[in-house]
Amino acid sequence: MQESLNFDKTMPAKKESKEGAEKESFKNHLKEIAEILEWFDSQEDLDVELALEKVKKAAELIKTSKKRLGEIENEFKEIKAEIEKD
Amino acid sequence: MLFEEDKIFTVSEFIGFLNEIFKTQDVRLSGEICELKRAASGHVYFTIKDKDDNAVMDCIIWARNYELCGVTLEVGMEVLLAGHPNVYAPSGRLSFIAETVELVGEGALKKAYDALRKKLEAEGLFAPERKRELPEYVQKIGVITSMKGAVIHDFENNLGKFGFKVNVIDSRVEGQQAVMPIMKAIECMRREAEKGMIEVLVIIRGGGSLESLQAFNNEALVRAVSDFPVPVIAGIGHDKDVPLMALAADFMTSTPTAAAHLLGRSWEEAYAKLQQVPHLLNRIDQEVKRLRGDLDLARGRMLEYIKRAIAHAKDQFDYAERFMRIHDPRRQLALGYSIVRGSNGKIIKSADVVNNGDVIETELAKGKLWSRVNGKE
Repeated sequence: MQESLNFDKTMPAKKESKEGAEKESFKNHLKEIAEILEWFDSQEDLDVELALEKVKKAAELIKTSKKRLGEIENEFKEIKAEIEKD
Repeated sequence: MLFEEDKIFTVSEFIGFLNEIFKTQDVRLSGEICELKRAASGHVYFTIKDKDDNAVMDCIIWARNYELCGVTLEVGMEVLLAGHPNVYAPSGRLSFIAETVELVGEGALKKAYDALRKKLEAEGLFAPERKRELPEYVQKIGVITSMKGAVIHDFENNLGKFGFKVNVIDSRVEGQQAVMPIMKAIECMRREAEKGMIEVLVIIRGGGSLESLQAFNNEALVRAVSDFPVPVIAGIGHDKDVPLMALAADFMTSTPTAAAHLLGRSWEEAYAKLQQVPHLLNRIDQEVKRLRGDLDLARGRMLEYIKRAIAHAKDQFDYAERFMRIHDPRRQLALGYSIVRGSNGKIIKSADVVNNGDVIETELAKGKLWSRVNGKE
């Protein structure tokens, strides 16, 4: 995966616990996706079943992360509108 | 005083009559002390005589007045008394009741001045650490001075228009006879200070010789100033010897004008500061504008950074999605490709690893096939 992002630093912290866990999982998802891509790059002998599992896992992670990213984007738009209103 | 022409007095009545007349007389009498006795009561009985003939006069100075005069009488001293004659009825003797006594001649005055200065200095009455600060923005001022002459006008003209409330007590300030009026004025001002009616006391008079400034070198008055409940400014003009009252005061100025300027100083400074306010406000306004600009810049940069970060994350996910689509084995099989494995389960990538007769497994998009190798190239 290209360069990694640190959303912990860029996005405002919301409520603790649930949202903290979400943020943590988002970060882990990015990491896991990067690991899967690396796994594909490093295979000489492809294990189809395992590759399929990895593909399914990556698809799931990407879907969840994109959803979270969409939420982050909406939050950002709200904050931006709020700031620009002042 | 009138009396009936044919009136016959008793001795007592006549002496009373004379004493009433004598009391109205303000007599100054000088002579040399030839006899002196201080009674247990503190009253001083003494006799003075003229230098050149034998005329003598018995004199009395009551204890309080004697103490107030701040002079220690001795036989041989030349003195100047102020007071009135009095006949003592039981003996019929004429005496002079002295209200004040002062030393005659600059030499004697200088000697007394030096001795008192030394004594009070040793007591620490003039010590700098005793001096009190002038309250800021004084408004209520007590002044003791003579209303005759230019001094009070100089003072008032230089006081400035800062809403001062000036309470003036007119007092004699010349010579030894000023001791009692000044003392009474200080006592009156003390009561005013204790009631909060004055915040500072100013005692002023124009310049003069040691003789004319005697009251300002009087021990009782110096102590009254030193012990005064609010700060005291002494603006007493002098030639050589600084009046002891000025040394004991919290502030000493050489002229009444300087005393007035001292009182107006904190107001003048406040006024000068006020003049600076528009400039200060302008600077604050500029600083606020600069900070607002910085904040706008920081806000813009922060929003831009987050925007880019989100776009970058999206790119990463899109890349990952494309990558997974390409590497998904199901897509390869759907395109018609198949995966061939040997009997050991390993994927066969070269014909070299199989022999004729080997059974190989072929995985398709849908299902698997098992075949026997008949030939290879």
